[in-house]
Amino acid sequence: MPFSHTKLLRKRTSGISHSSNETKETAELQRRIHMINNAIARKDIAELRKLAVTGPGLVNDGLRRLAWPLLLRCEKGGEVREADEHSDEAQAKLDVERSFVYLPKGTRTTAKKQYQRDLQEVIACVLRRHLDLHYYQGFHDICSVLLIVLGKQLAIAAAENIAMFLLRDAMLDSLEPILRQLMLLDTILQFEDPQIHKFMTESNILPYFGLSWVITWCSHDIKDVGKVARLFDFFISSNPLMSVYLAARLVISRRQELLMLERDNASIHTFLSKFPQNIDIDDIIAKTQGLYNKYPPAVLQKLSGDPLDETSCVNTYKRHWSSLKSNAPVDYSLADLILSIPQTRKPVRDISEVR
Amino acid sequence: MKSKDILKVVLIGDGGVGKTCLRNQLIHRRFTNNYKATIGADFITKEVRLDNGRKVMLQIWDTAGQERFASLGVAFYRGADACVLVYDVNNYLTFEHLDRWRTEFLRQASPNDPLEFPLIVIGNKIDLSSRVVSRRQARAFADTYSGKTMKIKCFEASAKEGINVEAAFEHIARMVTPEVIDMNMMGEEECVVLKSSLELQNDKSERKGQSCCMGG
Repeated sequence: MPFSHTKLLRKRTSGISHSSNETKETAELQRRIHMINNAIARKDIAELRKLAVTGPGLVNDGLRRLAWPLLLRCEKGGEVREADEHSDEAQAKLDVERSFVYLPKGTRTTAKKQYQRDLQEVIACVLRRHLDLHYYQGFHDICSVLLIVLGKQLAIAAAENIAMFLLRDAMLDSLEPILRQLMLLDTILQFEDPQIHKFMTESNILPYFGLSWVITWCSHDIKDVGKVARLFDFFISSNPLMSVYLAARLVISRRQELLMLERDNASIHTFLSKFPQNIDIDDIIAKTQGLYNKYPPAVLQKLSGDPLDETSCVNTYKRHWSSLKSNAPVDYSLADLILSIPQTRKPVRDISEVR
Repeated sequence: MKSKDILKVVLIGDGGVGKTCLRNQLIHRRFTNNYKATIGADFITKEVRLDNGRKVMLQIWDTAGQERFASLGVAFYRGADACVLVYDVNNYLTFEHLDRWRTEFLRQASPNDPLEFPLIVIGNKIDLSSRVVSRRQARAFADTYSGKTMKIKCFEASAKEGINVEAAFEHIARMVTPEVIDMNMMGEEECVVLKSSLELQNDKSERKGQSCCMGG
């Protein structure tokens, strides 16, 4: 096979080229890289978000290392500071010891050990900065990806902002808020694919099969680090509910196989919980974005009849996070306040402000 | 042949005690250090052959060990026929938490007769040399929670060395299939229809009906 320039450009990224006209694709990719570089230089977060959620996203880890800190508002990085230990660090340690399972073959044990030490530091730093955060099994997967792409200093600040603004619903005093997000998967299926919805309802399937996709942004389940990074482009540039849309889209993408299964709760759950490793990530992202546009979070919550709390990170996303001006400092006070109060169940007041 | 009937067994216990490894050892007869934390839950089925040659299908559910995931139990524990409580003999806290795991399991699985619900205890990682939980302590726990007919058996195992893993699961299989109710001939194979003790009490029929195990 002749050497492919396109493949070189997308080294360590996921998508598989289906285009017969590789020259054209290469030119497009060059153009995209040019646009990403320009957006990085201008610190144009809106433009970076657009690029991150379309086509092959931010293309490769070199560009990601520059773009993610802008998208995650963590350019300055975080430093390791002495502070009181957080009570969840012991659990994190157990998970860190079992992390970096999918490193490329040939990675030295010493390198893996170093990654694990760094990972423990990243998690501990985030938890110690916000003592009301609760660690969950899977947050370590998120942090591993950040560590690989960004390095320790940037990963600390990136993980902090993800915890506070994008995955906060999984880090409150119970998992209930994130489980309520996950329940919206049911509503998506109900409106998008009634046949699947009927099948799942009759088989008594709860959407828990998608839990690890939602709380780890699929990093717990996908073996290909390039694909994971591509998905992170998408998730760090989107409303926190996006992972639920992705979960719904993954179910729909396997509808034929699914509908042929026996109506046995256990086997259906286990079938669905296995992430389809060979899936075309760029394609599934495009389709997920389509679902999101069709049923944006405000509409979806209304349709479900059971809206999320107004303190859910889905509903504070725009106010507390995505509308931040590029030079404005990140304000943690409201997120800290939300973490400190026991979970209430107030539905959103003005549903129009969600998007 | 009709669909094979299956006994549902749920593994619970603190994170890192080796639930996934025990299951892997049982299913694949191997141990690897390269495994990850479990999030959510899933099952693998395994056919276990009993002393008398009978075969039983176990549907073994592996679950997340962090306490905050226990709230998902409603979904994963329902319809269970047996529960395996796992702790690490080198970590006292994991043993101390068994009580909590047991209570939470019974609350969420809500079997008809919680005191007689089939349970076993596995103390894992006996290959390490830093034991802090004694057999006597485990025995005392088991005695406290054994019922009139359901006696909790304690196993000490090593998922790493493959010690006592099969024995523990075979015991579970025996515990939930104590009585031969009926005999059928299906083609050339002999089919023994069994009922688990729980089903005898509950007469719950919607999910599994009887347990049908292919013999011979």
